[in-house]
Amino acid sequence: MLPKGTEKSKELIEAYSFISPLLLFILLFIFVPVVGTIVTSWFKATTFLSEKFIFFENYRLLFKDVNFWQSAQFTFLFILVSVPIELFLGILFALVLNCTIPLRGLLRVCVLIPWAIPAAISARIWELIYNYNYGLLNFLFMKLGIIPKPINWLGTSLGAFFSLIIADVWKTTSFVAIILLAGLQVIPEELYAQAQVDRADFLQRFYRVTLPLLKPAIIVVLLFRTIDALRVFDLIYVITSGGPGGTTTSLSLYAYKYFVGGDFGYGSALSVILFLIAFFMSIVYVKLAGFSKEIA
Amino acid sequence: MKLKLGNLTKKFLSIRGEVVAVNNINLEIEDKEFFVLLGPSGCGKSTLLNLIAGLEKPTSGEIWFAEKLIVSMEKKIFFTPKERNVAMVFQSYALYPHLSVFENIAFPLRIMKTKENMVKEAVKKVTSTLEIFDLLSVKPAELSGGEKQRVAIARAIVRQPEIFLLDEPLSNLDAQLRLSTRAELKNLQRHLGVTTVYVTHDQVEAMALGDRIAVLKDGKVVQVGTPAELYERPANTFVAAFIGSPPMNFIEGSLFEEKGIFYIIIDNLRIKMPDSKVWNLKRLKSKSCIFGIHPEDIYIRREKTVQNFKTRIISVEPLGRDMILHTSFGEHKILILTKETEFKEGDTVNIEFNWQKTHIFEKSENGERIN
Amino acid sequence: MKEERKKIILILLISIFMLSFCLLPVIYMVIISLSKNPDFLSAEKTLRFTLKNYFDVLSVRSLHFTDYLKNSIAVSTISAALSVFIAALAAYSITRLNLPGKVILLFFVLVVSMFPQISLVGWLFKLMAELGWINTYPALILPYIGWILPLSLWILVSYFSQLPKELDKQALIDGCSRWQILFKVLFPVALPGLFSTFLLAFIFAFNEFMFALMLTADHKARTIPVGIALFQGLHGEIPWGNIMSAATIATLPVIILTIVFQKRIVQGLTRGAVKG
Repeated sequence: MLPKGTEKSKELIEAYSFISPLLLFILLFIFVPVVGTIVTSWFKATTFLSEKFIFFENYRLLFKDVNFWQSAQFTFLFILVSVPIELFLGILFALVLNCTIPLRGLLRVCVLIPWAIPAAISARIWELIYNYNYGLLNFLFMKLGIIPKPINWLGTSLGAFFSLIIADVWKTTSFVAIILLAGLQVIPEELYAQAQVDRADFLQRFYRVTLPLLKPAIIVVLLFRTIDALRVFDLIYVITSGGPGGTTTSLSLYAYKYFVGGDFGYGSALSVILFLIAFFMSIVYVKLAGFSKEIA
Repeated sequence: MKLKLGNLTKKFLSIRGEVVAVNNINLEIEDKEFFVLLGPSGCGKSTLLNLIAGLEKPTSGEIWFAEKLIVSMEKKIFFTPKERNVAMVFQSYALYPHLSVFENIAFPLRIMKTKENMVKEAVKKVTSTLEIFDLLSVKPAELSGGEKQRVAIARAIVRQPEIFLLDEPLSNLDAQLRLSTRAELKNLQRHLGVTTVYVTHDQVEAMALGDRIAVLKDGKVVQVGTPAELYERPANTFVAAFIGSPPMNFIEGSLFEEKGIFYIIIDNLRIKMPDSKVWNLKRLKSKSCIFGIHPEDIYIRREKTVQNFKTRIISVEPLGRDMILHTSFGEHKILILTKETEFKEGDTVNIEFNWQKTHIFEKSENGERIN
Repeated sequence: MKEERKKIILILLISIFMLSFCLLPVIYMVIISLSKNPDFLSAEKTLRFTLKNYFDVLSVRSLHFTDYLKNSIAVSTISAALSVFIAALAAYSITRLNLPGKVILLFFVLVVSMFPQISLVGWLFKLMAELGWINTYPALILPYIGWILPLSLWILVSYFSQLPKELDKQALIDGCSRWQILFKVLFPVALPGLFSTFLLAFIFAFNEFMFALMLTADHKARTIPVGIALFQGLHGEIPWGNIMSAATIATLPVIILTIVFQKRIVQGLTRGAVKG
């Protein structure tokens, strides 16, 4: 029995009060830190007591920093190689998991396991697999006669690069497969039957029915995977620590090294660059996937 | 309890602009009355029900429960559903899936913090009335459609509401169950003596249940009346078309008067009315009009006379006891309900309208009744 | 018929590849954890079985392995539970109350979830250092909640919007207040959804690495992924047996959760991604 005006604003206050804890946490622990990082990047801050405002000086240095360009190059190569492989394997796994085969439930669980294991822990498993002296990889390859003597996989930049790619693919293909499987399950069975009646063979059915209908799911997966690969850190930190010779240092890892070294200003500038890339990528993707439409 | 709606209006803002879901509705629903809101989907009947329940706020207008003003946007009065003591049964029944049947029925009482022994007492009473006593420990997911509906009704009546609101409660039941439940519902309402507002799009249901029916279209009340009134004197072509099965025939034609004698003209057919006082014509703005006639008010004659005319049978639908004949007369399609069953496709028959039961409507957008 | 046969063989081959691809590293981890000599694959050595690695990591206090595990479980449980609760309140507001600007809000949350962790962690470190919270639970729990909230929110919004609105209306008519609707109707009905969101949130927090690496210093708050990543053993040589047994113990709960609640996890993951 409240007046109309206050009744309306009371509803509004109620709606906002339910959502305010969420906003508070996201603002305080995600948004403010990002803004804080941007501000920090304008300072020369070796220890946090002696900060000196230098505005864009860090960014000027950064563009002349060979190591920055190297890590940027590595990061993008990492995305360009790992994401397509994950997508390919993910589609393959999803297609198989979508078939009516015995033990399908068991297969699905097994596929989920790499996803569930913390990246840092799986990185250590891979570190051991790549071990020069008694790693599984050298053992298997020598037994199969592929290589005559052990190879130091992590010793060369190319070897280290692909070692990281394989570890990343192992860890994340599950996610891709699960999301695509959900996309596949939405496609009605009758469509395949119809295509079969229309005399489309196995491959034609895949290209003309499955793939077009799977497109929304593929876009979503690409979005998540690209952004994730852009921020890659855990795996590299554990397996190569950026080596050999800094050739596998991702942007995240490079920035981290400055934070650990105490140069928060420069580390922040690096983080801001990474943030901007991720931000624009997500905006582009979100537009591409038509998210705003779907929410409305 | 008597329910009164005064100048009730509800507007929504949607992407396509402002939508007037309920447009200046005035209704008085009598104490203990079974009142039906009938209309096609999107006519605003469910919004009206929500307004009575307090689930939505009107843009303007008033609602009275007996002598108490419950809603008045002008006087800034609004009672929440909690303060109203209305009960409602939704089309989907909205049973709480996590609670047993007993707890579902007891839910409104628990919210009112009723004492445990009284809760048990009340639930026991309604469940024996509705014969669902043996379902008390079951979860809603295990119930059949009919059982769910009974539980929803039990939950609605357990707290002895002052007004009982039903939103298409029978439309999720299969045809046979719908028929028997309809009768039970009416008995229950009589037995409880609760003012009831019932929303449906099914005219048969409305006719069977309602003491009175309000026909709604585009947020407005088109006509209020008893089932017989709606059937015998529909206010316009909309109501006439909505009520009756098989539906009323509409035939475009014209009417003219010559020396106190009325003539009907349909295409090149001209029929002289036997008695000019058959129709109590209010006004005759234009000569052209629409004749409406129920299929059972058309007679088949063996002899050709000046009162009847020939039509050709296009198809026949035997209903068992009766038969529907689809006939054509020039461009016009005419349905006839007859007890005689010897007709077949391609036959021609002489038909005669029962002029006393012929409805004459204006040939306009609204199609107002003019006799 | 020929095509059918080809298809079956193809599926079989891919299945075998898939299975070995996914499981081989895990099996390898378990074998190493149970072997006395992790180097058994090098020339002419044979595997010798032992449980000593497990005894070591579980009983040698100075390895602090049990501390890490305890920290991980505590931090992940608290962060997951709080974030699910907070996200549930927000999802209620978004799906049920007339919240203006909810589309923009969901969009904002989605974009926020794609921020790189590295662009937060530097400032968070400074903040926690200033507060004197480095190496404490709150230093991890608070950022974790913020970090997991977008995911939880998206899953729960999609879940809540599937629950019939008539339930709320019915509860209103039955005399419930907003909080009563939430706690007596919506939350109990949405319990499976809340639970699968909690599981996902837990796994996300349990697997988190960078915040834990930066914001903890030792066994007082360090979590298990960081603990295992930095595990160097007591004497020079990398103690692979210990590391792998620790890894096995740490992954076991997550793997069991995954196996038992596979359907719920998949549901949650796809709700969070595809539906969005």
